Amino acid sequence: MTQLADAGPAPSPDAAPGAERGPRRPRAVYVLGVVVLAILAYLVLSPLFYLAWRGLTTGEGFSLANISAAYSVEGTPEMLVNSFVFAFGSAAVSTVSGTALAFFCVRSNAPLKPLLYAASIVPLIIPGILFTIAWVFLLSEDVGVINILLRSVGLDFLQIDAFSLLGMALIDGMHLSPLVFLLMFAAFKATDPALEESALMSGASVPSVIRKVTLPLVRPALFGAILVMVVRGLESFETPAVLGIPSGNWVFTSRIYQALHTYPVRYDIAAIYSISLLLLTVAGLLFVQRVNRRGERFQTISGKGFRPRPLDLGRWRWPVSVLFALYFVVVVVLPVAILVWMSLLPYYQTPSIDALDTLTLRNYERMFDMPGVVDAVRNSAILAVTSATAVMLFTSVVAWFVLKSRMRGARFLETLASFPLAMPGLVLGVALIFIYLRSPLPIYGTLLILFIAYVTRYLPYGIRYATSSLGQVSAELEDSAQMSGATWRDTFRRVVVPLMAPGIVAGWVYIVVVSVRELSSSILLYSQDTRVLSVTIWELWENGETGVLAAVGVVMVVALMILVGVAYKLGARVGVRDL
Amino acid sequence: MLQVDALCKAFKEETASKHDRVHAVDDVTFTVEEGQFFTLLGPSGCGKTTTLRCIAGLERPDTGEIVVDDHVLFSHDRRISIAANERNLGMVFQSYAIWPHMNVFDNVAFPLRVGKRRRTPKAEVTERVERALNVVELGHLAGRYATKLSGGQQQRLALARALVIEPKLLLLDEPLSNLDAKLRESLRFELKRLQREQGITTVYVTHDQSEALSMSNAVAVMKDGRISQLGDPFDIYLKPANPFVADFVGTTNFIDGVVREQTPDGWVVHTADGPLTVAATSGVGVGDECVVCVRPEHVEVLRDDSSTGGDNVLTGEVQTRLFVGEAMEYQVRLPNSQLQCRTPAAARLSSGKPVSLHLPPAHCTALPRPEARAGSR
Repeated sequence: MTQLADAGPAPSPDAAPGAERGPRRPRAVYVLGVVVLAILAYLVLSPLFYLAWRGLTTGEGFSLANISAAYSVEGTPEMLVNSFVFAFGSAAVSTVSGTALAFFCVRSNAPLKPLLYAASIVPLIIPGILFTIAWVFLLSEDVGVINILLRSVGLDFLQIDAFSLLGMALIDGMHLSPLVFLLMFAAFKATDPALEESALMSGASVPSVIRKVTLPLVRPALFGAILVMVVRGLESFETPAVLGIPSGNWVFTSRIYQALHTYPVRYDIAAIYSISLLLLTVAGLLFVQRVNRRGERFQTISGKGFRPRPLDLGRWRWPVSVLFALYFVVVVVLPVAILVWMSLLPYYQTPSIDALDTLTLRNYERMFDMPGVVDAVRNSAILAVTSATAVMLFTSVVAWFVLKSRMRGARFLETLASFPLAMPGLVLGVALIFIYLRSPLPIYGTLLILFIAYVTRYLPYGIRYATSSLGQVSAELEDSAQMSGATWRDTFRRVVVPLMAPGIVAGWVYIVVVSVRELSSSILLYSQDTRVLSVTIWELWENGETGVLAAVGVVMVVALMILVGVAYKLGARVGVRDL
Repeated sequence: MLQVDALCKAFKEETASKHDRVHAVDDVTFTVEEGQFFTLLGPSGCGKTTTLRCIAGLERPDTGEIVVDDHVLFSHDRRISIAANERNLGMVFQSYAIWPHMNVFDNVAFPLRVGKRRRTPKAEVTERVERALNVVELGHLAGRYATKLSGGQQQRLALARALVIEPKLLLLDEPLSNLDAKLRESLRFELKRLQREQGITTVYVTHDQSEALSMSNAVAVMKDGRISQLGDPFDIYLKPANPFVADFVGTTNFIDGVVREQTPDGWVVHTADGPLTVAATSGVGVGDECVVCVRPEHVEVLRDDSSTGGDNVLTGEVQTRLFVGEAMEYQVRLPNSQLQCRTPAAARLSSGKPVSLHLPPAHCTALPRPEARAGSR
């Protein structure tokens, strides 16, 4: 933390202006650049180094023994198959639903569009652990509300068990579909409707326009989205942990977790699986990057001069809307409703009229008596606010170096800051254990180690928000400040930062939200005194305290929604004066 | 007042090999007198903006010297380089660079609240900002957000911000290019009036030749990082020193030929369409290959029934005509070339009609033929 504070946007005031000009200029800015590089390299590269080192050495030195040990564990082939089936299955669900939602949201005149929008975004706000647990009560074989309903109307064959690979993929896919929605939303928005109109003018029908023009145009984006979702599926921890471990459907992430929670602890296996997983995700994301670069030739798609023209769905307007209303009910209403229901019961009962008599707010009271819950809220809040603030301050400076400093190698900073995108949370957790477990610094088991984990994980989001908002600040705005006599510090403080503010605020809120949801790193790094909310929910689940769990979950979802709502309003207000 | 001496600035070529450098400014030298309006004119990529940014201190030249009022701002030999924020120059950018998060008053007050002037007393800030805003007639809009202003108002706001520090030198980087045509013309007068009233020495960068000619005391036409011709607007237009200037400033016809002899009236140039007498030459002598330049509006179009032959009369036929409002433009096909002429709109000749063209020797200039020019206009 102190390190980060030092690196803040405040070089010595006599820093000569405008980076590389003037013979006496560079010192202060240059020193700042080196400090920024050092912090980034430490955050991003040291976990990789320690992972590799721990994975490829045994007590006697360099050795490949760990690899053979890890891959000869019983059930490894099944684990590998499961990992990919789960990842591709989840990607299939999220891609199909996210793309369809995005298409109808951007390009059709379907009524109920706000509902579509909500259906697409709300799952992003519900933490994965809560979403999965809610679905246990909707889709497990015996008590799942949906399955009971299906049985009662004689549609048994439609039943899906949550505790199966299919159920896991379905639930994870629904939770991740907002990501696809956002990716495809942008792609559809960027397509010039004139391309479709000219196809219509050539005599093509609407369905064949969609098939032959619209979809091929977004094919690179679609392909990129699928790959990203496969990678996310491989990294996913919540669903495999809640549903996969009890049912024996092991995947990489749950194996890593298990290796660290058995006796004796198998650090070697955790290291090898982490490295394997990391290689897979890095390869996947590199491939995505290549696809995107090749996709640039499709860019008709430059963002000027047109507004997406909605396609007329004709008599399909209402059927399509009803379908999506149903989707909204399934993905948003049902999970939230079941959580609320659970939170109001002393012990879980299937929803029924009789059960209404037992409704009580007792669980909301017990939240405060339950040891650790209040502390967890406090810890989560502290971590979310500090890491979001640190990430946005730090990445604003990094973004300035990347875009404006014209220093050699500045682009490398961006690559470095974006790398954690490919690092699954669990893998980062494993690496941080290796670094700090034996470190003389008293960091292990404190909030600081969680802070380091969060900052590292969310650097990529920070850098993306910061660079995109700084990118909109034209160089002349800075030049004119210099011509007015402003020093580098004046310029950064009074022109650059205020103009970046909307982006910084948006990024800050986003990081607060994802920090509060964070489970996969925290689960490996927390200690008795540093539980965070998501870990508490996990523990409550393991202890069968579903009532309190649901109460905590409801409060958490409401709080996050308020936060996002406020941020949205605020962002709209800050953002109105177009830059 | 401003002396720029042997200024050079090269950039690394991003795409080509590492050692390739583009000479954006290549040995540029000029002097601007106190109170003058000096224009750097040229096509995009000619180095005019880079030159201006070197003066501003936003780019660091490789070699050369920049002196304002006996105050050395940059000297490679003496290892002097004053930072942009300490040069005390005013600058208006192409995009105006109005800070969107401040209102009109704060935009203008900014230079008095930062850097060395940060200790300016409040009352003085208010007084100077108001004075600057009144000069550009924006006084009534002081509290308005800058982005709520129209294009022309933003341009004047940028000017007020540049003037508030009472700079020794005002630098203008294509300040009119973002405005629509009508507004551009009215602001041209406005800018010229302000400059004269304030008596401020100004360096102006533009690619628009009519702006350059109408506003400047002196014009430097630039090409490929070098000054192609430096002179007052009349010289630039009427006595272009080379085909590039003749072509870039206004429209010009070029006819290839060879200088044959010198006569009391001037020089005789043999062209494929007949001999032409020209009153002036620049850089060519008897026996040299040359191009004859003549402006479309100087070509006299004669109906073909009158005379054939005569001095400096060429015959051909009308190929196309364009009615452009205040005038009529003809493309006339000669046996071996094509000429553009401009006549009052009243004279209408239909296409296909044979015509004679008189090229008055006083308006014809023989210039050296450029090495590789893609055909005549």
